[in-house]
Amino acid sequence: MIGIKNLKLAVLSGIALMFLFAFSNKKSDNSDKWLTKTGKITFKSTADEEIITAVSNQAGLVFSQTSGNIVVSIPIKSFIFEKKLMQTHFNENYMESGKYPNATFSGIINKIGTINFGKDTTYDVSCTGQLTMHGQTKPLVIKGTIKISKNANALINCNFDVKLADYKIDRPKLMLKKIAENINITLESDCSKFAKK
Amino acid sequence: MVYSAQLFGQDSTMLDLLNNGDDKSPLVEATFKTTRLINGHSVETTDKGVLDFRISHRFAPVDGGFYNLFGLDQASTRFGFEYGLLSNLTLGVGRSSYEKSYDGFIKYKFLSQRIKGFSPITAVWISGMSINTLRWADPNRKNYFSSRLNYFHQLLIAKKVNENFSFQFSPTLVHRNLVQTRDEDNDVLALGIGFRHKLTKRTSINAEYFYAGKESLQPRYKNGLSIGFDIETGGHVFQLHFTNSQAMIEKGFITENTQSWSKGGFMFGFNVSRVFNVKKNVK
Repeated sequence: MIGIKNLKLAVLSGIALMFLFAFSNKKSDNSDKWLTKTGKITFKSTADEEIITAVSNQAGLVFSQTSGNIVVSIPIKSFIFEKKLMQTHFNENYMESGKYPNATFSGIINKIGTINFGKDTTYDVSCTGQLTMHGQTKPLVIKGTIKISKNANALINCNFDVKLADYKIDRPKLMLKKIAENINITLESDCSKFAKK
Repeated sequence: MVYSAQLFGQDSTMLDLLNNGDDKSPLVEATFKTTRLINGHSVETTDKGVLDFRISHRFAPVDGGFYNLFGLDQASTRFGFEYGLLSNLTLGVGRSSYEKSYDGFIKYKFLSQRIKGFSPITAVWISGMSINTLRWADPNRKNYFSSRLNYFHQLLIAKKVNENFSFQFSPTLVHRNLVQTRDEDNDVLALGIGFRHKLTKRTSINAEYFYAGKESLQPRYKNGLSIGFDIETGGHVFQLHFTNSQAMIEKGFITENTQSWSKGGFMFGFNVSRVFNVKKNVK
C-alpha cells in the first residue's frame, strides 16, 4: 500500500516537474535578438527593353547575436510598383502570391563572434543559408555590411542576385526582353534589440 | 541534418517574433481578370489613376449562314472609357451603336474579400443610365426627352473560392422610362449569375446568365446566356464569347434579348480592354 502511495506521489511530482520544466522552456530568452518589421527591400530587373523596380517596406528580419541565426520574411503583396497593373500581374501570374504569400531566407551570419555589439563599427559580413520563394528552396550566400551603433542599432545592408528560373518563376516568350533572367535585390534594415512589450 | 534541424527549431520561434501583432489580413485580389464578366459587370474596379479603354463587338446570329459569314458581316459596337477615381470607385462612360445610346455609370466597391478575416465576399454597387438618341419614329407625335432615358442598379456579390474559381451574383433593377406596350413594366427585376474558371495563369473560361422577371416583359424577350474565354496579355484583356444578347448596355442585354440559343440565335462577340496608367502609384 505504501509502495503504491509513493508511486502515485512520484508520478504526480514527476508530472508537476515536467509542467514547470515545459513552461520555463517556453519562455525562451530573446535578449540576444535584434529585429525589425519595416526592413526595405528593393528589386530591380534590367532587361533590353525595360527596367522594372519595386519596393517593399515590410520586410521582417530577426537575428541572434549569440548564434548568428538569421531569418528574413517578406510578404510578396507588400511590393509596390509604379504601375498598379504590373503589381497585379506580379502577384497573380508570376509570384502566385495567393499560393505562396511570403519569401523567406533563413541562415547563419558567418563568424558572428567577431562582431562587437557594444562599439560603433561597420563590419563586412556574409550569410549562408536558403531562400524559399514561390514554393522553391535554394541555397544562397549573401554578402553585406552590418553597422553597429552604440545606441543599440544594427543597420544591415546587402545586395544579391537571384535567378528567376531557379524559383520556377516563368517568363512568357513575349516578356523575355522586358524581364531579366537575374533580378538584383537590395536589403536595408535598421534593427533594434528585441524588447518585450 | 542535425544542423538544419536546429536551424528549423530556432527559425520557427524567430519567425514568431516577426509575426507578432500582424493581424491585418490581406485583400483577395483579381477575383476576375477585368471589369466585365461577359456582358455584365464583374466586381473588379479600375485602379486609382488608371484609365480602361474598352471596345466591344457583338456580331449577328450565326444562323445567318455562310452567306453572311455566320453573322460576322454585321456588328453592333460599343466603346467606353472607365476611370478609377479611387481604387474602389470607378466612373464610366460609353457609346453604343445599339439605339445610338450613350451610357454612364458609377461603380463603388464597398466590401472587399479578405484571405482570412472579416469578409468572405466582395460586394459592389453600380448605378447607371443610358440615353437612346435615335431620331423619333414619328416626329409629329408629342415626344418627350425623358422617354429616351433608362436606368439600372446592381448589387454585385462575388467570391474568389480559390486561385482558379470565382463566382458572382448580380441582382439587378432595370428601369425604362418608356416601354413598348402597356403589358410591360417600366421596372424589371433580374438576377445575374456567373462564374469564371482559370485554365492557365492568363486564360479563363467564363459563363453568365441573366434571368429577367418574365411577368414584366413581352413573351418574345429571352433571358441572356453567354459563354466566353478570357485571354490576358501585358496590358490587354481579350474576351471572346458566344451570346444571345446583341446589346452591350444593361437595359439591352437584360430586358431586350430577341434572339434565342435554341433557334441558332446566338452570336460571336468580343470585348477588348486596354489599361493606361494616368497617375503613378505612390511607392
